Amino acid sequence: MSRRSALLRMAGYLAMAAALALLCGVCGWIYLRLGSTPPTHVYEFKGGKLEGYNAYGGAWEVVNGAVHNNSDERGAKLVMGSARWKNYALTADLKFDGAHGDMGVIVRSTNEEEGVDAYNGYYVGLRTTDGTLIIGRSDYGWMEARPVLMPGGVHAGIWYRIEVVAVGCRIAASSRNLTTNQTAWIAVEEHSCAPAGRIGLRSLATGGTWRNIGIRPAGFSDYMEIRSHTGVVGHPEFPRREADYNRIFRFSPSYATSVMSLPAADEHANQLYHTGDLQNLSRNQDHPVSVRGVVTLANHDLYVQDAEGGVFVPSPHMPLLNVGDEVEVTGHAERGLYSSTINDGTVRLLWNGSPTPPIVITPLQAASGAYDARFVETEGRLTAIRQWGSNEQVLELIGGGQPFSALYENQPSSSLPPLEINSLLRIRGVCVLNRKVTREITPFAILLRSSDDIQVIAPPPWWTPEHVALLFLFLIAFALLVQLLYFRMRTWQAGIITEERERLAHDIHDTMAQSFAGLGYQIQGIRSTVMRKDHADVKTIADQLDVAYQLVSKSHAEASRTIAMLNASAPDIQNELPDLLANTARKIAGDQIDIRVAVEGTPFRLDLQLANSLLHIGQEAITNAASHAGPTKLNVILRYQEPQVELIVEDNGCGFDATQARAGFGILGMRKRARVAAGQLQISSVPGQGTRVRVAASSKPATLRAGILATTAERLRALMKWLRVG
Amino acid sequence: MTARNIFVWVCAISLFVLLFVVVAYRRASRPRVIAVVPETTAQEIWESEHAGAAHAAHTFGWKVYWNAPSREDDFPLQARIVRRAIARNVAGLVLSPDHDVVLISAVEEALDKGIPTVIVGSPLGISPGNRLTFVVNDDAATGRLAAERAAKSLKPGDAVAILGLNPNLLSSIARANSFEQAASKLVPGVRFEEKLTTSVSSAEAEEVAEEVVRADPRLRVIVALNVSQSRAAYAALSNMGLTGKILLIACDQDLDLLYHLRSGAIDSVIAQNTYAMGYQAIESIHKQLTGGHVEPETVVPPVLITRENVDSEAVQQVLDMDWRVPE
Repeated sequence: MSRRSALLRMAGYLAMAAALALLCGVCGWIYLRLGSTPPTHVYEFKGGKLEGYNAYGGAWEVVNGAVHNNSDERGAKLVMGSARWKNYALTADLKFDGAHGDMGVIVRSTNEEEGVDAYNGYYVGLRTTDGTLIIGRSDYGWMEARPVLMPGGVHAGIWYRIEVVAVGCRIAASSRNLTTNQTAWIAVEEHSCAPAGRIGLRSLATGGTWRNIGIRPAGFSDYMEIRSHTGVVGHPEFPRREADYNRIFRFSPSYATSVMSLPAADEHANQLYHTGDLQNLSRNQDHPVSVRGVVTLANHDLYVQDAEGGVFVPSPHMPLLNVGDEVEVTGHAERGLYSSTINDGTVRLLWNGSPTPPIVITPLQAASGAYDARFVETEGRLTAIRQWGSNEQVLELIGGGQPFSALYENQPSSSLPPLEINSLLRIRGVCVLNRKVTREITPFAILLRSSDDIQVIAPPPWWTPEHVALLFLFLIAFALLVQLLYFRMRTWQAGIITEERERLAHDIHDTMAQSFAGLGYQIQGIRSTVMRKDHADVKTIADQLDVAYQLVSKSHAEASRTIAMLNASAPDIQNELPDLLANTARKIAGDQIDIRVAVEGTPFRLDLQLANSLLHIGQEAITNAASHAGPTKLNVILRYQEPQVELIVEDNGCGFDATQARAGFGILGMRKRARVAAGQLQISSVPGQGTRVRVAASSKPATLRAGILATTAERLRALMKWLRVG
Repeated sequence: MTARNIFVWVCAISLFVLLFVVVAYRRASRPRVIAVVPETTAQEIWESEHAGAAHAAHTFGWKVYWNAPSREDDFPLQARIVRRAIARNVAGLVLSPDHDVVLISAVEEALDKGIPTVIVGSPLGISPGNRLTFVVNDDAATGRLAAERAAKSLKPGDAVAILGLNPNLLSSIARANSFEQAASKLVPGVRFEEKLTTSVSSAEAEEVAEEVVRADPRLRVIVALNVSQSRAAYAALSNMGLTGKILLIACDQDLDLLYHLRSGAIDSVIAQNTYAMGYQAIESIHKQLTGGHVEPETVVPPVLITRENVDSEAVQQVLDMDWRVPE
């Protein structure tokens, strides 16, 4: 290869690499560009499903097309969308359940985890404690810009519309009281900002509802529209020290007397009890009691627990409560088997708290009754999913041999996450042994607060009876296949040995046997001459001895070649093929036939097997022509067209009907040799018009590949035949 | 082998080596991450620890992973956060345990993986040593400071309520013991009413405070041993119209408690210097990683905050919550 062509080739490779890199770059750019723009979309939560959303804390559910968090957990998040969304506007309406806490939306969020500020992004929200619109940066730590007072304050039960625009490193937001239309604006800029991320809903120390959540792409003009209303542009840098904060803001007490939605119960008219003490009250007396504790479940009924246990409060008079609220329940205590019930309960909200962490127990412990009416976490394997009535979803589980159920009330079946039977689930909720609740189907039930209380620990195990049976069948089939392959391999091995023996027999027949036969004839001829004592024929005898000697030499050469084929240390027949064919023709045909040997194209080196096959096919064709056709002319053409090589032996002899004639041993041998060389053999002959033998094959790489393919095809044919016969 | 093949092989090997070098460089140049897990991220007392840890980490070119439960009694979640941090192969762990026993196994997992661990705030129920060090509040000093402050309003026969004694937190027991010893010496004959609880429920704490106030007319002082209990005691006194009449001494700082201190409803706050603890914890990890000598236990003195000194530079430094570091 010339230096120029090598350089050209190298340049070609470099150009290809550059083109590939460019293509990758363009694709990447298109991917990032397309993925960074959010669609214009309004979230509708069809079918009551929170699909495609990730919850980090809280108790989220869909109620009448709105998202509700029924938990006071600090920093509960519901995150959705793409982490690559960059410049967009997010709008949402929100309403506080409690009077103390934060509610708002998250933009450009990434790396979310469970935890108060465990995400990297921006939060824009309303805070009841100081009645402000706040905006700040969270990066596993919170730093806010100076809050802006919301005209008219921030109150529970009122809808506010928040709009946030994030463009580049500029974030602006507005908040509007949908009742009074009072509005506040705020804007921040940050040098090193969170450039892209998901959207989300977040609340802190209160529950609440979000609706009309919409997103659309936004530009600088959208930012400026809000920014123009703000006096200054802030930075997330506040508060640095305690004095900064306490100089500006006044804490309203988190104590919630002011937000009681019901008239205060006659305070302490009833004696305050711990829940554990209620079980010591006598059964047959009416006991007016008050109990303080944390709400663990609030729907139409209420479950409250303190450090000693839990109580059930059926259909109490109560304000809007969330899980985690700290309340005082006043009513009439009724002792149960494992926990007490407070009938005719009136509930007073004391504090907005944070949900109690669950007590982790086994199903057996739960069934003991020691944790009745308490918030627990346990694990079990799902055995069935049922629906009771129109809207009560029931998960039947078993853990440690103990069956139990998990009940999700007032929810359609679509609200459940996708669950597979036999999955291992972790369930959180209020443990209840009340037979009205369990319907005496299981010893206890867990009342779920939201679908997030169901966590899939492990999918169903694969060792079900069906899978084990399938595995057994597969193993048997595999063993049979291995056995079959073993026997086939043995057969193939025997076949290969036989084939090799046949090849040797052909070689010997084609070469040495023919030579020995000729030698025999020569010796007989010499003997005849000697027996006739015809001294005039001394020259003839000498000539015959010369021929005999040549036959012996030829046999010796053939033997050497055969040995070379066996041990691969051959004489150089690859390069001498044309000469060898010419010699063969001359030796076999003598001077009776006009022999022409031609080499066309540029010869290239052939592999030993191919050269040997061509030589023997040529020898056989020449021998056949000389022996049977009686030609006057014989052409031997060796044509090189890399990687193809072609050998043609044609005569002008008597020919034969190629369609009728049965292939003899010689032709079969030629076919076999052609196949071994992955070549194609064509014998064409017409009576009176001579015979043409043509073999074409590819040089080494193609030959190898074709040989492998041909051998494989042959093996497959043999296998199919064997299977058909079997 | 042809020249072309040699060229292709050289290119491929060079590309591979280049890729390896880039990946190795990126890994090596990535800053070490120290997990700082406080009792909760919902109280400002721990934001000061965040600030101290972040500032110290910045001096070493490290980063801080900061996360904790939203309640100070959610030890199952705290254990999960610690284990998650261990799985991320953090270079060090700074933990303020929510439970003195439950968190031991998580800490031992960190130590088994060779992660230097520093316990901050309240001690853990195992001894320091073997990559485990303590940088804790001097709880005895907290008790003494509270006693000295309370003694000014106590006479023999008066009662003192100690609220928030939590067996899950060794620091609360140490504070209570120290307070009783010191107060008994300062004001002989004073009576102590201890209330044990494992709950951080404000409603329950408020109930306890109200019960104590009602039960003993000679109650002069309430010592609340943690933030939740201090809030509840303030609410109870406020509710009963007794703010200022019964002295409330709060242990541990929070923004709303300091607000009530400024308003006079709370007599004093004995703050943990969590800023210093966070800073020293990171320094301790640095020493461990660089083979320096490390004290197994460092005790950080608390700071008495009153209306008189709340705006002083020394106190405001303790209350620093600015965890940001220069880019």
